[in-house]
Amino acid sequence: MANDAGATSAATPGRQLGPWWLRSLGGSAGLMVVLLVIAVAVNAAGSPTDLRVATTFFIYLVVALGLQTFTGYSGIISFAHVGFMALGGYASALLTTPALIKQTSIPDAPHWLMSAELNFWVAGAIAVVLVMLIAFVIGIPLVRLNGAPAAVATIGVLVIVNTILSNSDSITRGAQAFYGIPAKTTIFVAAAVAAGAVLVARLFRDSDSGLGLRSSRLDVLGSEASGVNVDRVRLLAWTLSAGIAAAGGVLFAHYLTTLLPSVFMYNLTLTILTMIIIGGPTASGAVVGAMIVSVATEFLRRAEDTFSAPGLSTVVLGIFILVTMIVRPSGLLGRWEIDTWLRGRWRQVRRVQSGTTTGGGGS
Amino acid sequence: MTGRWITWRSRAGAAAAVVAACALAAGVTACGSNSDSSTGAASTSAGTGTGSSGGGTYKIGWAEAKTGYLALVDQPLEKGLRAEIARINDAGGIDGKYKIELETRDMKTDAATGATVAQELLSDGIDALITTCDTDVSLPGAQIAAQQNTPVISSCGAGAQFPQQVPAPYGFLNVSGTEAEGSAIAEYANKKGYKTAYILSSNSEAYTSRLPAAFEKRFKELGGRIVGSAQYKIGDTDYRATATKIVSANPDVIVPAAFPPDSIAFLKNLAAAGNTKPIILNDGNDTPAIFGAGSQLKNSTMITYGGYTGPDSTAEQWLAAYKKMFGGEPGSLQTALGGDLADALAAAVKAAGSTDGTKVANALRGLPTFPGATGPVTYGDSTKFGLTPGVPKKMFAVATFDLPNKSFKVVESFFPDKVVQ
Repeated sequence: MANDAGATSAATPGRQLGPWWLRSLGGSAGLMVVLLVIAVAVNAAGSPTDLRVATTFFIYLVVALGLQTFTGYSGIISFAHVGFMALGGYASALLTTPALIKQTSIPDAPHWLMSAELNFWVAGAIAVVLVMLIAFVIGIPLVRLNGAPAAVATIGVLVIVNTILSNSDSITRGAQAFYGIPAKTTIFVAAAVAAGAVLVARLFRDSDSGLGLRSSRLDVLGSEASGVNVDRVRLLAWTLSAGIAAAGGVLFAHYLTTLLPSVFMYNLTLTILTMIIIGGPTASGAVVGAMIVSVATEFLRRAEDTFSAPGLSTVVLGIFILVTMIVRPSGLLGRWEIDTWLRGRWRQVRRVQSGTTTGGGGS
Repeated sequence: MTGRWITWRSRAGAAAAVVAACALAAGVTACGSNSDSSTGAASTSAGTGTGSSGGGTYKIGWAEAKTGYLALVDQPLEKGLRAEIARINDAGGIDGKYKIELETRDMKTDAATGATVAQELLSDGIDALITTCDTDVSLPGAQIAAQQNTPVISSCGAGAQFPQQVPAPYGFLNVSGTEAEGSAIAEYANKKGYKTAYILSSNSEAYTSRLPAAFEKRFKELGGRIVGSAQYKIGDTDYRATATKIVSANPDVIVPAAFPPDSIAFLKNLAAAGNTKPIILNDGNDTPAIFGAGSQLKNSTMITYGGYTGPDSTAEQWLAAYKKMFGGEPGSLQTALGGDLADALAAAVKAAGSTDGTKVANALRGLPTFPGATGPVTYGDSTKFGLTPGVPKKMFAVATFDLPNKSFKVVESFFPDKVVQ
């Protein structure tokens, strides 16, 4: 089975631990537990501010995992995913905000939309499916592009989404804030969705399609010659990743309770991209990158106020990216998931202990 | 050698992952215990003026834009606020009972960061929250404050719906709102005898879309005619085509709903197109940066706040306090809006006889005319002037530009006869 090689490096020969999906589940479990432990710890011991910081981290992590599922695995940089996040957020907001508020805020909206007051989970699911459908249609021509043209095309998607949201006065309030969205995103809801996103991103990565997509990252022609339908796996990843980003948008909308089109533009895109660039092109990389960026940003934000140095965090984050690109161009974790890296290290130690010095993964 | 290098890098990656996980769970919590403690000493800006001296204190928190595009307007207002706080404290504090303290934190012109900063300030025990100069960006933080029974005022955001968008009675504006300003520009244009106008607007922000809409409505009511309008996107740098169209349309007056750097680029392109028609700018241009626009300022006027020297004003005392604190004149007229923030809260606390958030908010909602740094201000009677509860009635200033000295010259102050909705 081709995807066996996706779960465990070909450079780490040894006993395979069951089917690929079982190893993906096992590999994801560690990260999921870490996320849930963070949620429990911050909820138990953190201040209200810490709760907000941690919840924001989980939400951005979901979007980063969405972006990773396409950009990390395909090698095509996408600027569109924050746009998908916006669409998910607005869709869920429109379906859940009390009709009484919508009568004031968007009096010219269609009646069916005005009267819609769906359950958070139902609205969230509809929003995710809707965004996946939109992404699928957009993706059909877009996945045929490679390199810089593909990246520029995704900027076009972001700009189009922003322009539509900013000018749909009767539905989104245009450039004005859409307010009154029910507050449903707690730290545990955000952590649970983030854990789910880790699982989905990891399962896709280790699947046949994920392996094919990752091979196309290295050599498009080579992977096509090996039987990979690159357009198909890219379209699958694009659609799936848009759905994950949309889930992040749903969480964001019901956390902030207010949405503005201007929030979903280049600044947030840069933040999310930084997370996956620093972490590396794996699900674990997205988690590690999101943690580092979130923690560093928060510490530096507080340092800015303490030392009266506005803008310090932006400068330091820029330096962070620069140093990472120089020292670890493929991100801190490189191409490794944490569990495969640990397994490789463990085997290396075992070989050293048994007198074998050759081979070894995880470096 | 290579093997050692790779091993080191792998360890670095793993170590970073572990450190990040631990830091998020424990480090932020530890850091947070600092900022959310009752003292908030670690990340608190210094208090202003003489500070507390054994009596009570009234603590104001400002989730301020110190970076990002709103810093351009928030930062001068902070200086205006600090000067007025110092003046009030030097005079014995609010009603001789409460010294005012100010704590500011950077919300980076970001709505989500603004909410986090608002929560941080509330955890530090503030009595009132000031948010940034954009009601839409302010909203998430404002809602958190209102839910915790804390009065919240946008520093100079102009969305008149803001007070209704947060739980009553806690939301307030510090200006008379976009519709009032649009109406004021229209009435001033009519007074000058202009019959036709060309509008520049942008859907990028509520301010730049609602202001021209209000102007158009009031201008038409007064018999004026709109001969053309153009759209731009905030951040645009090239207005040559628009400028050519405007000059060709030959309007009596040009009304661009823009602010620097956009308005500077627009005015420069107008000059290049040979425009000689008058221009009326909005209060977003009340900043020293506007003098970079050059020659078109000779035929421009600006509707803004501040510079009022009539009765019922603390302008002179505020200006003296400002010069004493900062050693010079403020760079903009609307710096006085910062002084108004302190005047309004002080008047409300005095009227409430308490620092309780609900009592102060209710007192501010009903506050009759009181002297402010921009002139006489009223919240309690503002509905009589076509404004909504929580939106103050303030005097607008008509200012011209003294290019050689790079200063503003106030030629008159007024409030429109009618505010369109």
